[in-house]
Amino acid sequence: MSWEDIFPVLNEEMVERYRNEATDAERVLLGIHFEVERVVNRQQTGHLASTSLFWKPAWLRDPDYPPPTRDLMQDPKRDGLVSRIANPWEHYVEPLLRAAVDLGKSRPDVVVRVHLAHDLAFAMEELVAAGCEVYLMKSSSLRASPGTMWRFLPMESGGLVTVFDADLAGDLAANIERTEVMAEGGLKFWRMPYHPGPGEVDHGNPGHYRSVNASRIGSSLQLPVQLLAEALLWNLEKGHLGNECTVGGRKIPYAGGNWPDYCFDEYFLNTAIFPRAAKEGILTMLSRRDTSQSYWFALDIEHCMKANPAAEIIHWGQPWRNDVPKFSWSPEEVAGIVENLREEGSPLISVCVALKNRSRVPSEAGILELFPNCVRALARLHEAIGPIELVVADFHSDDWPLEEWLEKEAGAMAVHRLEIDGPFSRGRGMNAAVEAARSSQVLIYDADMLMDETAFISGLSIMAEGKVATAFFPMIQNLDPRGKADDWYEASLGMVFLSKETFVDAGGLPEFQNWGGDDEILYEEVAKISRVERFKLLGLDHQWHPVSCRHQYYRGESHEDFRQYRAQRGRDPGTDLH
Amino acid sequence: MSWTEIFPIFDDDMLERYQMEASEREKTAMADHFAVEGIYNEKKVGHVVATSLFWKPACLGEVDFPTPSKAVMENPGKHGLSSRFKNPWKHYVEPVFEATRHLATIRPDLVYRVYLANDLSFLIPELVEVGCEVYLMKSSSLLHNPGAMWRFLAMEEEGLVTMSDSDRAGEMLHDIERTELVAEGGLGFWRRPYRWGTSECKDLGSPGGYHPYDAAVMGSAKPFPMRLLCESFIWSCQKGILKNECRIGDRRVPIPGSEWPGFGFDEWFLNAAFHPRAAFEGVMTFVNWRATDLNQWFALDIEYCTWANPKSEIMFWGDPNEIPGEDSNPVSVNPNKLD
Repeated sequence: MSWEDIFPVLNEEMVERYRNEATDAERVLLGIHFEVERVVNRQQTGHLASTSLFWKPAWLRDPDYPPPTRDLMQDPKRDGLVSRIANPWEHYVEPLLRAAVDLGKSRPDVVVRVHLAHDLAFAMEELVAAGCEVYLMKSSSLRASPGTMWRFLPMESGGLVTVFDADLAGDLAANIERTEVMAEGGLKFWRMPYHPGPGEVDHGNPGHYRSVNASRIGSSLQLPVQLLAEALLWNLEKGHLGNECTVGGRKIPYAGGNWPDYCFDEYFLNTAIFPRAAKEGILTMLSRRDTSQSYWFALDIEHCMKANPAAEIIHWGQPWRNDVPKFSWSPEEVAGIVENLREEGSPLISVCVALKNRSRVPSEAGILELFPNCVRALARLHEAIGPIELVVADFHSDDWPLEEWLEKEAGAMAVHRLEIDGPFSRGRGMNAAVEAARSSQVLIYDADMLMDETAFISGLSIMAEGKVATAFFPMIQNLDPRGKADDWYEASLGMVFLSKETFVDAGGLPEFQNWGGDDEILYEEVAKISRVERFKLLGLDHQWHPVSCRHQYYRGESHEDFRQYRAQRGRDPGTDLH
Repeated sequence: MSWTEIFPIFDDDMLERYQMEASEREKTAMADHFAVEGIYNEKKVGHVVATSLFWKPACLGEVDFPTPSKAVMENPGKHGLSSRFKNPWKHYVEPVFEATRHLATIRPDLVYRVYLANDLSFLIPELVEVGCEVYLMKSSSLLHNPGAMWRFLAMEEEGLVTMSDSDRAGEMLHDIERTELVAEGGLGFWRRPYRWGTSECKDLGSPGGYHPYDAAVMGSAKPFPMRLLCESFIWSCQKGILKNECRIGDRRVPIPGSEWPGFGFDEWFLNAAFHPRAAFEGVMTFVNWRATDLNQWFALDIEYCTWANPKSEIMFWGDPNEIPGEDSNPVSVNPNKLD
């Protein structure tokens, strides 16, 4: 079985059919997507940094924008437009201008070529002033394509080309060096494959595998890019080529294979460029922290090696961290983090707990006040850092009824207590607690946990940083019966800092009626839709208690529902049990 | 970057050091782990299904079991022993009897060979009676090893070898056919890689838990000097000549299951000593559609195998409907209209 058995490939026969069978009208219709109206500030160079600049909705289903202006691009919302980015001018154009100026100083031998949408011609002057060579296109793009594909056109020349995204122009210098390393090593193409989502998310779905990330490519290939693009579109329309993967008798859609939608450029790369580049020799750049790869990546590598044995994987970047990072937050930093998360009239975060009888747990070491200790620690955080809401889903605890002590121990911290009927289910309780939470940020928390200020701020900081939503699944430290730090519970996924929206979009926790696995499923579902951070968090401690009390109020055997859940979805939970 | 830069390799220099530097006493000690005391019901066939049969605690630090008997193995708990299985006799021994009887019916051209721990010699009559070829070892194994490695000795001989765990004996037919397929295709070996599920391996991507070979799910079509490799490998590990850690950037990460003679050492041997050599003979890699644990280290492994022998190949198997993905039939509406 080979790559070509599974993934769609635009082969030479299809290109020939386009040459021989397409009508002149069809060629004109296709050619117009890639034609250049004029070139401004043309420059001679051996190394081009190539990008596209256009402003269109990503999907054909979305209504088109009006003719763009700088004002409109700086605040599309003001004009009632829906844009992924609040200020596209700042997001796309300004980084490009800065990078072009910087590159002009540090690498005057490299030319930044911008393939500019026709309706953005007003940006020409600034681009030229920054030192860019500008190819003004006849088209303004339809949606994400053909605009995203224009930047591949310099690969027709056979010179060095580094392709980049305008909003990732800050990484350009490093990518230029990669192209040069590749060329020195005698290879013709470098790329970064990816599979959306970390861990084992959707690993088996070939429709999500990307052999090439369109914004991170370098090449010294000489390929008829425009001909290949036209031939691909024509063959797709004629039904000679599908936009699906073939696995046995099963067809699986290739995500992004719809013209002219978002990611069609990567479908083009996967289908038309990658098979040809493989013959010339591919250098694969892989992050040392990339845990998203699957057996499709291995099949890709097998294909590359068979096509050209000089092909090679190079790992880059720092490996994952399994150290215990030590954080120290100044008052100003804490204030900044809190300010970033603060919402008028809402608590900073809602800490959600589901429990039954965790207030007075009998043990060989005496009675353990697990949940009261937990509440006291949270009340201290509330006093020191900001308004916390504690939402407790209680399955009618009777060891020390919550109404007898909870309000008092919580002090000024807001407490929302829910009485839940029926047998204990952590998932059912937690889903109810999150639904009742008033903050947009929630902490999925267990009744036997303790947390200090540094750990709490560190958790908040991860939620507050960056533009992309991040969920934090910290690893926790066990305490021994005397309350001293013991081992790390590396497998723990039970405590989570995340947005309420992410929790809901991930489907919440499965409502198992026995212990184990619900947190693992939440982790997998969250990872599909959000960035995930995970490391050992000093100061987030699990209080010791007899193991037997884990299962005390559950029905059935440990992991019974989890195994059934997995079995229904065709995954073998025994894979890891060697 | 290649496999050999990240994963430790037991190279030819290390092997030569064993030959040149190990004392006679050390060599005798190593050889004793793999010495055969006697062969019962010897058969000359072209295809051997090989397994080891011993009963020892799996891991370092565990208390050794007393001399085994059928009664103790049927209920170790009754004798105050802690064992992974309630009834090791039923789990390990009975499947061998059943599988051998079954194989004798459907594939009389094969032999089921048992490398038997010395302290289980009381099983010889029953094993011979059902048709097994029995290699009685001088050793009773220490822990999980060397017992788990004995079965590799079958690969010393010309002919086909399919590896088995005694508790997988009933599932052998497909594995036997895989070995024959590999031989027909001119490749040397087949295997099924997998990854251990520790948090560091699973969530963070440590290479330490990646296993290019599952010791019980593999086959061989070419002879290999396994005895020498096993002996020299153990000696090199004990001398600290071979480090049991992966190198990734400036990090050193541990390899779980690489402590002699604990659980997993047999696969650590396959990983570091056998795989780097076997790759040059051509390897067929079987991957089930549900094998979601195969990550970037599997790809590096495939790069190495395909580089070492371009005939090497991945073979997917299983039901494609088990692949996670959107349910779809061939697309009936073409969304790619040019207009």
